[in-house]
Amino acid sequence: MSIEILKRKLRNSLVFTALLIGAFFMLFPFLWMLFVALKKSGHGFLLDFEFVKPIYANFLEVWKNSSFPFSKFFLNSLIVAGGGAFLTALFCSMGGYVFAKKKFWLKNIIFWLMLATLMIPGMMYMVPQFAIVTQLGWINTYKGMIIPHVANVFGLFLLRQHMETIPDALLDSAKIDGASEWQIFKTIIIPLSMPVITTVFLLSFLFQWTNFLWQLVVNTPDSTKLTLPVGLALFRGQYSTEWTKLMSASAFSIIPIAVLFLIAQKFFIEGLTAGAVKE
Amino acid sequence: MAEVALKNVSKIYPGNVIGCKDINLEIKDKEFCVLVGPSGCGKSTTLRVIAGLEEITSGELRIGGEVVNDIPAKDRDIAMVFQNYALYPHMKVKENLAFGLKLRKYPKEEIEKRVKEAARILEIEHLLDRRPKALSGGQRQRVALGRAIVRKPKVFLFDEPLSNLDAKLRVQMRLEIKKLHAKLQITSIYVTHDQVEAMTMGDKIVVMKDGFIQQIDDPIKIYERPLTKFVAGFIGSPPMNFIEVNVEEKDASIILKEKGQGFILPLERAAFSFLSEYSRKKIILGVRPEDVKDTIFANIKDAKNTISATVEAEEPMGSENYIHLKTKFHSITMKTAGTNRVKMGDKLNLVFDLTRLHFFDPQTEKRIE
Repeated sequence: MSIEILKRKLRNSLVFTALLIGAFFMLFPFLWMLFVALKKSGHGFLLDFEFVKPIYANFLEVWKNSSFPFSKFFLNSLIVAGGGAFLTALFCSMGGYVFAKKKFWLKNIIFWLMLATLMIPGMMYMVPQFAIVTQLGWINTYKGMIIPHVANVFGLFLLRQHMETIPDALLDSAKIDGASEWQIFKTIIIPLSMPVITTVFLLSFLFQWTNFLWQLVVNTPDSTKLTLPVGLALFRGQYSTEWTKLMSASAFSIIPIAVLFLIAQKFFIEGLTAGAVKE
Repeated sequence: MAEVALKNVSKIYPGNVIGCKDINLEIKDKEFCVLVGPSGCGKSTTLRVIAGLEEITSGELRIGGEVVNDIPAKDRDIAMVFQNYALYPHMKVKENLAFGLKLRKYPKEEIEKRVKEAARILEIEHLLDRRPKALSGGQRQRVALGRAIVRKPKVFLFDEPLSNLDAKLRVQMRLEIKKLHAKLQITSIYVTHDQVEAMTMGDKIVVMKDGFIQQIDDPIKIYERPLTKFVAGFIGSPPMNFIEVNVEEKDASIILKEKGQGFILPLERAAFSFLSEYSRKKIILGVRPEDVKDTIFANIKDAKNTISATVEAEEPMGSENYIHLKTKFHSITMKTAGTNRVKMGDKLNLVFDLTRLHFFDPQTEKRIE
């Protein structure tokens, strides 16, 4: 009996040790970022303990540095990621509803064609998209950063799959209760799809927030619409890189994502597993 | 308050699939009309056409005298109760009841008054703040009924509302819907596949098959005088016995012979003269299980031309007993008193109640009379 318990304890401690090591590896870049962010200028790559005084000086510096408009970048990122994610969630919901519940000619073929585009790497679109955005005169604008990524086939797919599980009788019932098409969408479809909509919102927010290449391409270096990842890259000057400042700024850039995930984590997990289990 | 009239209404789906065809039906104001038939017979399609959830392919639909073919569901002033209740899961019972009124922009006090009234009638006042998830099947169905009655619509539509309930609750709700109808006096159209529901609830029954109406009549007439073999077999439980017989004429008699060397049933020509045109032809004889008697149980002495049959199984129901028998070529079910018990393999001598026989043409399956 006691041997059994001992065995179980041993097994558990082995498992947890392995998990802790795993967690450490996952967290290491993050911890390293914080570590570097606290160090004196020039000590970024040295394994010493030369910290700035006060210890948060680098963080203050990031916000106060007049030659580096971090707060502007931060705001731009919020606008681009927030706006993009909102529009993506909205359009995917509308499209998902139509593909899930409406009948029209060639519906399934159109849907599968759209899904097929998921197999093409995003980079392939970059040149034609850039050409279009340039011709529209959207260089250095929020539109240019947001709109090309608002059409999100994966989000559309997630939402269609979810909305197909909403019983038709609910929609029929709402119709008879006097709801217009828009009211059905607003009062029945949206509330019942909220977990999945949140998931799509979060995924697109994350994508837009961390998107670097596109936002670098559609902004000239003197643009006032630069986002954080592009702005952070500017920290790496031609001759030297302020690693300590770069890491302080990076630490800030993580905050919105972390906060969003914490708030939405319940929804998020529900959304990803929606329909997986019969309730 | 309104009457509903369908004139040659058809619903044909793409690929020429018939939903319902040439439906001619008039439902009077305050009437309770039941559409009944097996699955795929077009009864739900007909109801959805009336509701405005399906477009009419051809024909004319009137509600309260007004042609509503092109009027959307939301403007037809009807209410519908669905089989799976179709309650909005993210709204409280209260909000579910108020939804239709809110969309129609009723004043707040009026909404509250009506919700309370409906809740009182259906005895769901204590559930108003719950969500549908926290309700039992019967309670959910009450809420669904409540959602229909708060609107005080011109017409109630019921799409198999009791199918998801357990047997006991079904009987109880059946009665409550009937009482509710008596109280509210709103024209109602009720779809079911359950012939007991149809018989017990309807002022008028419409039996459907393969998209067509087979017969429209009041429940007792449908039972007593089914116009087709299908209706005869569908309405009544256990179903009517069908026996294929040859008709022969002999002097003052018309003789029905079971094929091969089976039983012989002589009838008086005077009473059954309509059968003479089927002389030397096959017809289908229909006998309801309660019209099959056994000479011993029914205490019939000196019975002539009895039909001998062997017991294959019995289904004692307590108050009555269904005995399944086999003649030479046919299975026959007999309904008798619960106390009349038999054993497998027993031989019984059967007589039919000759005043209650039904005859059907084997080709057209129409009633012969």
